[in-house]
Amino acid sequence: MLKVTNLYKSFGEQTVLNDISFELEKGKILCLRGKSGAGKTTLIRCICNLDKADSGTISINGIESLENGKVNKAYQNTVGMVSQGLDLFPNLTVMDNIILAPVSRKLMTKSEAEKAALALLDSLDIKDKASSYPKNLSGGERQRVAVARACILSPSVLFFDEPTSALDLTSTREVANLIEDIAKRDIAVVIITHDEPFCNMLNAREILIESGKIAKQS
Amino acid sequence: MKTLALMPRFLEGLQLTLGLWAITLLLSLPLAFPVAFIRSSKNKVISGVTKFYIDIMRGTPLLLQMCFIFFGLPEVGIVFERFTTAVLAFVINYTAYFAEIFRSGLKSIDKGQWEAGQMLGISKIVLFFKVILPQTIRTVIPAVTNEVTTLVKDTSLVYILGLSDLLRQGKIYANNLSSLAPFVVVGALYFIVITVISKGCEKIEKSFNYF
Amino acid sequence: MKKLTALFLSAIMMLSLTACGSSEPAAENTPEDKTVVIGVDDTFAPMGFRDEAGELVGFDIDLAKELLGRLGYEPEFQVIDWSMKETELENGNIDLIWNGYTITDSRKEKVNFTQPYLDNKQIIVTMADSDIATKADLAGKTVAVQKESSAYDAVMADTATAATLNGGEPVQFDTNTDAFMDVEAGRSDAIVVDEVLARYYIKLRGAEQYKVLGEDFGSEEYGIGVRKADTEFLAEIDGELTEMINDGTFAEIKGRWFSE
Repeated sequence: MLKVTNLYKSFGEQTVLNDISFELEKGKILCLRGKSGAGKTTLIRCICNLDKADSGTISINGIESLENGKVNKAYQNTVGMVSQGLDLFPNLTVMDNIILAPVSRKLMTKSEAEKAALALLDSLDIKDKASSYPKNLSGGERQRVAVARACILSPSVLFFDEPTSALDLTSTREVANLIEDIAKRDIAVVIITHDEPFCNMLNAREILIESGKIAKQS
Repeated sequence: MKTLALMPRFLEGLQLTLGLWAITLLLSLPLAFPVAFIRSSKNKVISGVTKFYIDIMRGTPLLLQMCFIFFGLPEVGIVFERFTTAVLAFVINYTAYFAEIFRSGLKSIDKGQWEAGQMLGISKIVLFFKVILPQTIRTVIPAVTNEVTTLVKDTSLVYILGLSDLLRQGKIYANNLSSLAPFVVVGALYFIVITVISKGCEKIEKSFNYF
Repeated sequence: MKKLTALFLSAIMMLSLTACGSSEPAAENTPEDKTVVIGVDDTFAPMGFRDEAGELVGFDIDLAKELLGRLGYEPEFQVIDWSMKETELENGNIDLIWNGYTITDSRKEKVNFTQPYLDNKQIIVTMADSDIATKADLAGKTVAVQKESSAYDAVMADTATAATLNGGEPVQFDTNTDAFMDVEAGRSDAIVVDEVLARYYIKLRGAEQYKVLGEDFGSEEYGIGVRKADTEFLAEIDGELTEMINDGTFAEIKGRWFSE
């Protein structure tokens, strides 16, 4: 399913990704661990086509990330991301945040999208927040909205960047449960984190990255 | 009393003042966005040329720019009417100021929002109009309000073209009546207009407080 | 919202009016073109200014209408900023400078003048109850003038008198109106000002309040400014001006605007 092969990337003199290769099956969870600056964020930015690798290939279900050096739209439709800052659109309601993509891309009609969004919000226990603005939500609620926004497009792989930073233990456990639930929908989940206890809560594979190389994997 | 009887004359001046004000805003505000984008372009030549334009506009007096267009350009065979000159000078000048305001406004929007849009496959145009623009507008309203009220007062510079705006009408009748009363009336009219405009801008600013 | 729309509409209308209307620039070779554009400063009473109805009136306006009419031209008055008058003439935006335009040597280098048609003295005005009667009485007094005016130049040219003034020079005001008001307020003792302007103001505010001294600071002459290239046109205007002075029309028009 997700297949990363011999990925290299450097910024000037500094090699950030040095021959990274791994695979991940659907419904599985992968924790990418490493110190800050180890290259894990660059790695998923390359996988998500937000940065370009110098060499190597990335594919999901056999569809390559790039086509003639340009972003492959068919590939892009299969990845979703919940970034560290969440990046919700502050001027839109929760509902509009979620349905903007499917409606503007004409993947769904507005009413279909709203129905799907409500179902997602319901499963995430924040159905009552549909008409709120992001500024009126708690951190945890915002994260769920970001999850719903990514999930409505039915990605094959969902990326989380530091989902537990600044969370207490109870909230961390909730996030772990949330991610387990997502994986149950046959979505492959890749998590960037330096939070080892959090990884241990999950039934996940682990890759440890050090100086742009895979130092250890389970 | 004599001064108040001249109200129609002052209103004629006010009409020119507000007309120029409205046309300038109507043209320069929409123009400033593309200019702000071009200014932020990664192409060094394009952004350099735009920066040069903005620097010239901000670095020289508007009065001088107007003189250049009206008195200088005819030397090379380009002739504009008086009011057209005023509009042209004000639009290119204010577009530069607004472009810089918008550029800083656009820059203040987290890059993550653009990336989130990209990840969701939302087209850049949809993202700009639905997400980036409303946030930018809210950020820039105070600075724009400032310029918008300054513009009302700047229009008095058209005296150099022989156009009779509100202030010039005041001057004409202050001379005519040999009295300062026309200036008091003109001052009051400016004050009323600017107060109304400021209140309007405040309302617009408040209307963006929902997010 | 409706009002806003109306405002925008009227603004656009104004733009399109100026855009399509009167697009013919003033002609370089006026004899062929029947319209003559006259550059005026509409704040200079009584030569050219606006009445309560906003109409352009004044001595120069009447004179120009009569003179150009006789020659078969259509006069068109264009308001200009006075500081840009020679440039406007040179650019062809206007054909004549005709609005209390003082003949000076430096201006003669830029434009051709017709014969002088009006004398303008720099007169001294005080309040009626003032004890100032002669130039010599100005010693130690405060004298008001308009900023950068020919009145200022005239006073300073009279170095002997200027040196005796309070402060060694006249106090300069933005407009003659301000200068007059300062005298009325008692802060200044006298004003030195263009006679044509002063007579008009004095008439307007009540002649009994003021006193015009017998002495003055010299005189200057008004002429009509014509583009250097338009020599035929200059001769034409000059000839007609002589004609009007001879047949009494000039005196008749002058009588409308100047008492005594």
